[in-house]
Amino acid sequence: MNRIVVGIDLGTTHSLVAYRREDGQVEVIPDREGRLLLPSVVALSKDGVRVGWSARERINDPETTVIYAAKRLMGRSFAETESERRSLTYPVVDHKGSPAVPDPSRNRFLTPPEIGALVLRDLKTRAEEFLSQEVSEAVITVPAYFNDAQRQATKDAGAIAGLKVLRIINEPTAAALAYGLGSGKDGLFAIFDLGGGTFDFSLLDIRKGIFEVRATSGDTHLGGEDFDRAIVSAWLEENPKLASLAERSEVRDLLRKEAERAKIALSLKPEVEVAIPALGFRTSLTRSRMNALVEPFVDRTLSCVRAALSDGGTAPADVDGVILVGGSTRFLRFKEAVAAFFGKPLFDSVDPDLVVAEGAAVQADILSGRRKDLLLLDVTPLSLGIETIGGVTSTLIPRNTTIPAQAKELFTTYVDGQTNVDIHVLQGEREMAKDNRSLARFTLSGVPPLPAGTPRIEVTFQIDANGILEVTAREQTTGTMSNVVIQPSYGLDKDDVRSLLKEAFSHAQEDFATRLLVDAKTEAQTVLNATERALEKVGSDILPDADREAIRNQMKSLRTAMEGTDGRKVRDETQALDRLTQPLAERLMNQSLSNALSGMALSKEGGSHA
Amino acid sequence: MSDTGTAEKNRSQAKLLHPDNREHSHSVCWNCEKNVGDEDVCPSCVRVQPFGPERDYYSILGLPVRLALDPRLLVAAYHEKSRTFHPDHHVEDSEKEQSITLGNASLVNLAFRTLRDPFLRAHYFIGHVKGKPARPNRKAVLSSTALMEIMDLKEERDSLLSSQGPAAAEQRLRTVIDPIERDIFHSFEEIDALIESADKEGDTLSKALDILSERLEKRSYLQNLLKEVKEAS
Repeated sequence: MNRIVVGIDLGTTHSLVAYRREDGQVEVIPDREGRLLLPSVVALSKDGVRVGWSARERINDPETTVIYAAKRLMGRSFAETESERRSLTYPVVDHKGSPAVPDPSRNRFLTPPEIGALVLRDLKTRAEEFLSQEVSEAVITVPAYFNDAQRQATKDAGAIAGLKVLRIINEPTAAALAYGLGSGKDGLFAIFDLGGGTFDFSLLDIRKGIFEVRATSGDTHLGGEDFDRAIVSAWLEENPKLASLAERSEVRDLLRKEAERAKIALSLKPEVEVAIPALGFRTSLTRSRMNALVEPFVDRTLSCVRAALSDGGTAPADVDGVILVGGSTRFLRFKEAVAAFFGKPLFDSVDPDLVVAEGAAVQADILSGRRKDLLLLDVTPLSLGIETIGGVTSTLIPRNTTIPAQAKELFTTYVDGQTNVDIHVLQGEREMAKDNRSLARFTLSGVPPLPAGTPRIEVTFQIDANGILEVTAREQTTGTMSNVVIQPSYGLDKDDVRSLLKEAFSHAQEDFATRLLVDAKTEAQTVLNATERALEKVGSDILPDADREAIRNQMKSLRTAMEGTDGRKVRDETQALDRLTQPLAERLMNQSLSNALSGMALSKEGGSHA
Repeated sequence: MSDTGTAEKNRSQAKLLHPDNREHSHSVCWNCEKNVGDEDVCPSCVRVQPFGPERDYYSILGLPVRLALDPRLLVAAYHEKSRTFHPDHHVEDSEKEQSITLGNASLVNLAFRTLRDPFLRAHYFIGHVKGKPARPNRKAVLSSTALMEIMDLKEERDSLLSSQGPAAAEQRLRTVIDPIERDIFHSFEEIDALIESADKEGDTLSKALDILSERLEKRSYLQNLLKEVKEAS
């Protein structure tokens, strides 16, 4: 069995899983009903936990907590999520500093990585059923602008779901990988990724299979959901009676859904009628009105684009093409604005909803060691440095540096006889340390007591290909060393993650084993029934007693196996029985018995696990 | 589980990156102990070799030590070395090889980042030719006349900023920066030619390098003035 690494797009509104088939084609894996998208929605109620479509159906059920857009909380502290929480209709509480959703029916709190894990586990199960094999490794995509903590939280979500996350890659880069496949086009490409909740922009240099990320930028609070909200706000302003009704969350949900529907309809026609009879609300929305409402968002995306171009030292004219990603790029106003800004062809042939997952599957394929023709040279999205005298940030690795990366810098003491040096590791673009994100603090002790400014302390930053940062401080005269591997904190500490991991791990294996056992037992029973019927019909003229005895014995071993819990053993015993009855079936081709046996063979096809 | 695994691995990798902690000499393969010279990959056992401490950014990318570099050549060299060393192409290799590729790929990236920017490249080049390690963010030392000029220009910029806005201030700064950058570029070929001539220890080269060095320092001051304008607007 081939090891398969899947690519997962864990989106704010929808998630998908894809893999690269033996024939080289990338395929998004559908669920049992043939749907490719999985709503990133989790519903908590007394009767259980639902994920995806069935969870989304519960949105107005007062007995159910419906969690959506949890990606916006991912990897952030409770305090950091204040503005997010105001726009969410489900309760979010402070659980050990992390935002968490109470699940009273199961007496627990769900943190964002755990919520993400529920979605990921659903995708994992989907992939396992589709591929008929265990899936335990994945590449997961995140917005390019995600910081270290948000990436780490996403990784943890994967681990909790029983997935080893081989790599976190940026969504725009993934999209480019999907488009770069086989096209043989070289050049400088811009990727404009506008999803439900986030905006991402990247510049990529593509040459002979090498994807070099030149610059990225983005806005973690900009997407299609903002447009829906802008429409709803406009309606409420025009209609004060509606505004008082909208204090109720289900009314707001209703309005938001209607706004979303109208927005989508406007990409096909210039005007739509809007009616919510239950609220006595009726209006119409024109495309030009809609465009006016989203214009501030258009401006915000373009200012990100300018920043990235300036970082990459390029002008719009240098760009050879623009790849559109994310459902919200279906919005005509954005297509127009992007086309006008660059004056270059737009690439939108791959379904913008699927392209990120497909690209993740390509990177998954590279990391499974099967492709040496492609290589992704990714960058670190935010600057990394340490705090120096006066609370100033000294940057060691500027943002958009290609990883893996290493930087060294010499520092010294500022007090005579100082023997300890505190190293405060920071992430961000701001001048002052307090304005940047604190990643870690550690102390280098054992510095020889010398006059201020004399010791030479070399600080080394090393970022590996996964973007994980290790910081080492070393006093050069004595060789005293101290280091830290940055495990970004965002509320879940390492032990929390570890215990969740342990839980998840045992569950994941359990889940897979259970499914295997159930399937194997079903198949075994079918084979047993068919064999039993066949044995009743044939005499010793066709089936020698010794053979009959052998078949009987094998049936007995199979039944014993079925009493146990080992699905593989059941499957092996079934195959053994199959082999024993095979010659019999051949001998009886023209007899009534062959009907029974071929019936058995047919019924086996469906449940086959091999 | 997997977390601790990575942590341990990273720790050993970081050690390897310090030149004085290198366990093997660069001319002998760490694996089969056959002679490898300056090859990236051992010709006998096909294992990647760690860059020795004597490797400069030019030699890491397999490029001649020159100030004027063809950008296409540079990118091609960078991509070739990335294919050889990037950890993503070594995921199935032993931990030892992975730590070597991490260190080498980091250096390849750093070398490319430095040599791609003509001003960083020039700064590095001067340090390399003079035999001193150059650190890009070292504080520049300028003559007092040059400093006075810059102070005057700063005042002029500030008054332009308040009277006519950032565009005018930027334009004024550009009239000083652009000629300096042109002079810097012009000196590249000239210095390359001097280096290739036999007269390596000559006064002409030393003087040319000093002039280049001063221009680079002046430019970096002026760039800061420009940066402040951009941040203000």
